[in-house]
Order: sequence, then C-alpha cells, then structure tokens
Amino acid sequence: MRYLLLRYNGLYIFDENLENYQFKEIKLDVEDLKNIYKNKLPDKIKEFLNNDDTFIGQKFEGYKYIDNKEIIRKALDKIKDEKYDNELLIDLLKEQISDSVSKDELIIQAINFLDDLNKSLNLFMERFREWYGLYFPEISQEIEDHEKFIKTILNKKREELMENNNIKRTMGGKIFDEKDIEMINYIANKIKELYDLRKKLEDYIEKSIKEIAPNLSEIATPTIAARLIALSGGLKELSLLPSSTIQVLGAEKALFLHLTKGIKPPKHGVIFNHPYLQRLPIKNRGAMARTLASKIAIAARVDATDKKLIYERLKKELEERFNELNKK
Amino acid sequence: MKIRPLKENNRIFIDERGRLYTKNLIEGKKVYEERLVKYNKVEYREWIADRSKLAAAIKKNIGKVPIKEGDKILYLGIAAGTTASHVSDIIGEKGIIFGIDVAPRILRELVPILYDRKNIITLLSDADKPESYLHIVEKVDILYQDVAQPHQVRIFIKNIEYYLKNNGYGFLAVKARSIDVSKNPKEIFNEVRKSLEDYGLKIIKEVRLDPYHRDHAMFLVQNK
Ligand SMILES: C[S@@+](CC[C@H](N)C(=O)[O-])C[C@H]1O[C@@H](n2cnc3c(N)ncnc32)[C@H](O)[C@@H]1O
Repeated sequence: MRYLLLRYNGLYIFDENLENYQFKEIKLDVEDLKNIYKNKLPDKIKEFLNNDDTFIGQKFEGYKYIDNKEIIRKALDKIKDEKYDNELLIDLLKEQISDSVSKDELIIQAINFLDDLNKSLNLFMERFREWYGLYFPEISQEIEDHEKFIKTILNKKREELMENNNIKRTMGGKIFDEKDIEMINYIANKIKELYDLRKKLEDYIEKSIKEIAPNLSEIATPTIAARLIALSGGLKELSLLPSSTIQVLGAEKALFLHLTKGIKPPKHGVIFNHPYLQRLPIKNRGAMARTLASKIAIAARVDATDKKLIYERLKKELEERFNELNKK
Repeated sequence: MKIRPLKENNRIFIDERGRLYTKNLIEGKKVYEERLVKYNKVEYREWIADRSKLAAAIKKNIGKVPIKEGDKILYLGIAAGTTASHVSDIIGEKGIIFGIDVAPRILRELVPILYDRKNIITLLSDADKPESYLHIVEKVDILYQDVAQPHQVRIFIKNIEYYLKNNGYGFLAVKARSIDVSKNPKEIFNEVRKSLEDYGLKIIKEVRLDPYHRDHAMFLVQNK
C-alpha cells in the first residue's frame, strides 16, 4: 500500500510507514489547481495511481483517503523548502475571485444603490422644496409626495400652476427673473430623471430577483426577497439561516438591544413590510411573521439548490394562515 | 525622531512616542494608510495599533514576539493584508506567509500587494477545512489567526494539528462579540483560555486589546 499527497507541483508517494518517499514532479496549471479545490483529481495525475493508493487527508471523488492527524503531520514533515510559483498562485486566486462573482452580488449592489439613491433624493427634495418655496410655497404645501410635486411643477410657470390648481394668491417672492426660474427648472428636470432612474432600478431588481429566486420572490414579494438577500449577504447565505433569524433580519439593532439590555425582542425585521403583515391587526402579526419566515426559509432553500417551482403550495398555506389570523 | 528596535524582537521598531514600525520590504510602497518614514537611510512603515491586532498586542505588552526572519507562517483571515504586510516585513524575503481567507471580495484588495510581496501566498479557502490547502501549505513556525468567527477556537486547533511544528507558536485574536453577543467578554476569554489549555497548549501570554480594539483579546500559545 502507498500513501499519496498531491501538491501544487507534483505527487509525493510514501511507503506504508511514511519513512521513504518518491517525488514525481508534475506540472499543474490553473485549471488543475481549481479542480483540486473542487475535490476533483486532475486527469494527468491518474496515470500515476494504483488501485489501493490512499490519499493523505485529501478527499478526491472515487479515491480512498485517510484522515489521521499523525499521518498528515508525518507526511508534511518531509516537505521542505519548496519553491513557489507566485505568478501561478496569483492567477489561481484571480480566477477564483472571478468565479465567485454571482448574480446575487449584482442584486445586492443594485439594492444598496437604490437605498443610496433614496437617501439622496430625500436630501435633494428637502433642499429643493425650501428653495422653490421662495417662489411658490403654496404648491409645495399642497403636494406632499415628492415625486408628484416635481412632476407637477416641472417646466411650469407660477401663473400657470395657480390657474391649474385653483390658487388665488401666493406669498412667493416677486424678485424672480428668467435666469432664477431657469435654474430651478433645470434642477427639477434632473431630479425627475433621478426618479425615472429609481423606477428603472426597481424594475431591474424585480426582474433579476425573479430569475435567481423565483420561489422566494413569490412568497416574500420581490422587494423583500432582494432585501433579505442583501441583508444575509447572498442567496446561499440566506438559505442557511434558521427561520427565527430570517424573521428578524433587518432588525439587528433591536435584537442587539434585546440581547444586551433585555429590551423586548423584535418580532419582525424587513418582512414587516409584507402585505399580509400590514393587513393584520397588530396583535396577530407576530404569529404571521413566524409562519411567513418559515415559508421564506423553505423557498430560499429550494431557490439556492434546484429552483424547482414549489411556491403554489407555500402560498396556499400562507394564505390559509392569514385567513385564520384575520378572523381572530 | 529616533527609531530603535524593540528588545523583544529586533525586527520590530519603536520611536520615542511609542509608535511601532517595521522595515519596509518594498521601498516607497504603502499597503494601507500607514506613514512611511526614513531614519538613517532606512525606510520604515508605521504599524498602526488601531488597524492591526498584532500591533495592539505588542503595545499591550504581549512580551516576546517569536516571529523571526525567515519564518514560515500560516495566516488565517488574511483579509486585505494590513497585519500580514508587517509580518511580511519582519520575516523578510527568506520567509513565507501562507494567507487564507474565505471572502473573495476582500481578497480582491489584497491581489496588488501579492505582486509586490513575493513572500505572501494567498489562497481562497475556508480555514475550517485545513485539508483543502494540504497541496500548498507546509509545516509552519507560526500560526496566526484572526477570523472573527463563532467557532474560532476549533479552527485554531484544527490548523495547529495539521500544520504547526512541534514547539511552534500560535497567535489567536479573539473577538468576544463574534462568539456570543450576550455574554461578558471576560467570561468568553476565560472559556477560550480553558479550551486552549484543555487541548494541551501552553499559554504564554494573554492580553486584552482595549482601547485599540474593543472586546478583543490576543492569546500567544506554544505547541507541544
Ligand atoms: C477581522 S478580519 C482580519 C483582519 C486581518 N487579520 C488584519 O489584521 O489585517 C477577519 C477575516 O477573517 C475572514 N474569515 C472569516 N471566517 C473565515 C474562515 N472560516 N476561513 C478563512 N477566513 C475567514 C474574513 O473573511 C475576514 O477577512
């Protein structure tokens, strides 16, 4: 019997007592090294193998291995003063980094961008309303929704707006000349474009999330699905979480206060925005959140593996639970 | 300003104000936002204790720092290489660091540094599966671990079993919060100490890293 240890530069073949060894130098490239990471034996190694060979610590599909610490230490003791090929190992690392970029990372970036965009829009709108208020405060007071406000005043003069909105008198200043109005309008146009961008981004996120997590999107809604993935760091990461954690994702601060200061634990995190929770009386939301989180956990697990469509059944169970709680 | 070697390790330096330095292996190049200073024609990189747990441990009197020129080091949780770059300065061209990290995103920042510092090799791997780097890593003089994971002690011991030479040294940076947020850090550090001792490691020193790193401790141990 022989013990084998595959290294980046060749094969160490040890005798049964690990006293003596032979080294077969084999040139391995990035692809070979990637295979080793995936527990696949590169083909060019196979020709050196016998049937009863045992790999030391290394699990390759279809080959024997031994997991004994003493043996591993003894084998490693023989390996000294290796000359590493830095270029090769950097290439390998770069390949692995590039392989690791996945669709859910794109969605996470998009969601984070959306959050930044919303923050910026709020900031801009607060400032813009103050500015515009010098010109025509009444219309700003009348329309609360930022986006609607911008779309209403866009490219319109005060007189026109007064007429359309039945406003008889304004407290707005009288000093505005062409260039003042032009500037305000220019900004309003740019802000409107940002609202268009937001819509586009939301559509993009919805479409992408439905592709990578069809079941989760149906159960949680696409928006909440995307947020859950962003909060957990990826679809795979989400699929590994217990449903009790999923239930409070996005409420970390409240959870932390609960654990350290003994304040009441949070009942729900981002799933709070789910239509089912929103429509229930407050006292029943905790129970609904538990059910929802457990269905989300199932959906995420399926989406992270084979993406078989199972949401019909989950949706029905969710609906039944909702109806039950809604009657209470 | 005067820069002199520490008595505990002549490849780590200190100035009158207590700031730490290492000799820059790659002259003219920074790794993070550290200062470069010239003293007696030699270029040093400041080693900032707020950024590096090892620097903080030295400031908190961990005592002897058994990292020597030419040493081989297994570094778990190498991240962007802040601390590892100083270790790379200490061990010099004849030494080697095997850096391990699971997070591709942070390793992306490390890649440019690897082109300069030929004594660092880095693998995208899970330190909880030491068998996954048996084809590259060798027996090492030092194991350094900073992974901020709940099961960090188990990871540390597994890697010692595989890779640390007899009588080799291990540094374990422990973040109390990542083990259990609800427990008192002191309690957690005591538990860590106990598991290390139960495994048969000799604890040479344990220091708290406050105020540089809150609720962190560094253990220096020696293998059987
Ligand atoms: C606090 S950072 C390390 C900072 C670094 N030691 C320094 O001082 O420059 C922790 C690192 O451990 C990595 N990590 C966490 N779990 C790991 C594991 N199981 N295997 C390898 N690396 C891990 C993380 O990706 C992260 O980059």
